[in-house]
Amino acid sequence: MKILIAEDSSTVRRLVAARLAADGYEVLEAVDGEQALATVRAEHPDLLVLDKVMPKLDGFEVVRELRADPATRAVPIVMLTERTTEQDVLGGLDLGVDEYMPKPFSPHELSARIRRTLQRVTP
Amino acid sequence: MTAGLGYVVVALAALECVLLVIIVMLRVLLRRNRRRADQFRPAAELAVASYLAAGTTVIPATYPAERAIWRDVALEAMSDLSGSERAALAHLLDDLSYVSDATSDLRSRRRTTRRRGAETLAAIANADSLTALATGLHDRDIQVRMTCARALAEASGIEEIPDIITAVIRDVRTASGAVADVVLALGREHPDALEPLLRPDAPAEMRSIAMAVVSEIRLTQYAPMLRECLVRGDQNLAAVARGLGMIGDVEAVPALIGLAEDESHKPAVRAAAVAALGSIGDPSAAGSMERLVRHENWSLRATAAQSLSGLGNPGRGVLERAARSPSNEVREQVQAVLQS
Repeated sequence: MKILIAEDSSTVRRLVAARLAADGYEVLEAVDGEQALATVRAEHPDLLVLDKVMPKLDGFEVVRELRADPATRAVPIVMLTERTTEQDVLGGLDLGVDEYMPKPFSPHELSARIRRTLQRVTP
Repeated sequence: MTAGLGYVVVALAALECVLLVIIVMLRVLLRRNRRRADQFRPAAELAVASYLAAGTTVIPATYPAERAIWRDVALEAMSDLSGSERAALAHLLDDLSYVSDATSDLRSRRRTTRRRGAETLAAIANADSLTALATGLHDRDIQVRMTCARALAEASGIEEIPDIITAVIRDVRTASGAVADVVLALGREHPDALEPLLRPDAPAEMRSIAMAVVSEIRLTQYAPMLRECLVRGDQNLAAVARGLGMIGDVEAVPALIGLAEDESHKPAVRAAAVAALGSIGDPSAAGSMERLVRHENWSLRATAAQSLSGLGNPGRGVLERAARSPSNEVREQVQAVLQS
């Protein structure tokens, strides 16, 4: 299974990538929203781990664009973010975010949530 | 005379050349260090991530600059991590002697080095670092003191509570935000420790912060102390009333009704008492609210109308009667609450 991590902090990106690689996933990385969109369209990952606050295009914009495009509408999205006010969570869920993971986070827990999300969406 | 002037000019020119060479050498050195740091940082990030994900052995950095980058990467990762991975990274930092480095940093003459030492020890927060942090409570720099105080306040089973209390009282006027963080941590981990901060002899700013913390985390054991403040006519009656309301202290209802109806107090103080009565939700306050919902002061009327909605059926009855008031203003405010 192929997972894309879109996150501008290189430290967090590497923490998540190492955990997911250890769990047997193929991991792709993007450092901003635009790169995330381009990678989803080119590589068709099975799931996207997305930071809310990113340069060029923020996480919500990426979700909006992906959900508007029939080719990427179904890709499951796990939002990894420190912004977890009720408004943020509701806004994200309305846009089509499948799962929220607040920072500070446990990479083990993130991996478990990814597994659960993939089980839910995979027929 | 002319020869003397010539020597001065030559000496100045030579000095300028020496200075230029020093500046160029320093810039080259800085650029080299920055390049080395840029090259080393990804390796440090990868080492931290691999250690946490797969338990890969970490080869300790030897150069001081590389050790500093390694520490910064680890601390940055710790700020984003929770649970067992965060604990594992703290353990690793201790194994790699970062606790002893930070303890030495805390004794440095340079303020920035001491601050960095305090931050490192606060992030690791194991038994050894807590011992070192206790010494930082007496540092001459306020940021070091508050970093140490907060880390100690968040730890359990510590003996330094009297020293933390002394530090926060000392610094409350100059760093109220940092002090509030420390008091909040104390309230969560050691609720009994807040008692001296609420006493009448504590500085007003300190009592105000302590009351806000007691209210925010609803420390019911302080309700009797807040009631005493109410009866005594505390300087900060609005904060006392808010605290009792947030705690939900039913025993405070008679005193709060007295404060709400006392025309000698400012409307803001009385409104705080009215809001507290609404939060507590005791129907015995309905009679008092019936008078206040028709008060000439707009904010008192609005708060009373809102609070009546928290008093169950007796409150609703009062609101319905007030909705038929001859005053347009009263009717509008009450109807807005009834329709919400």
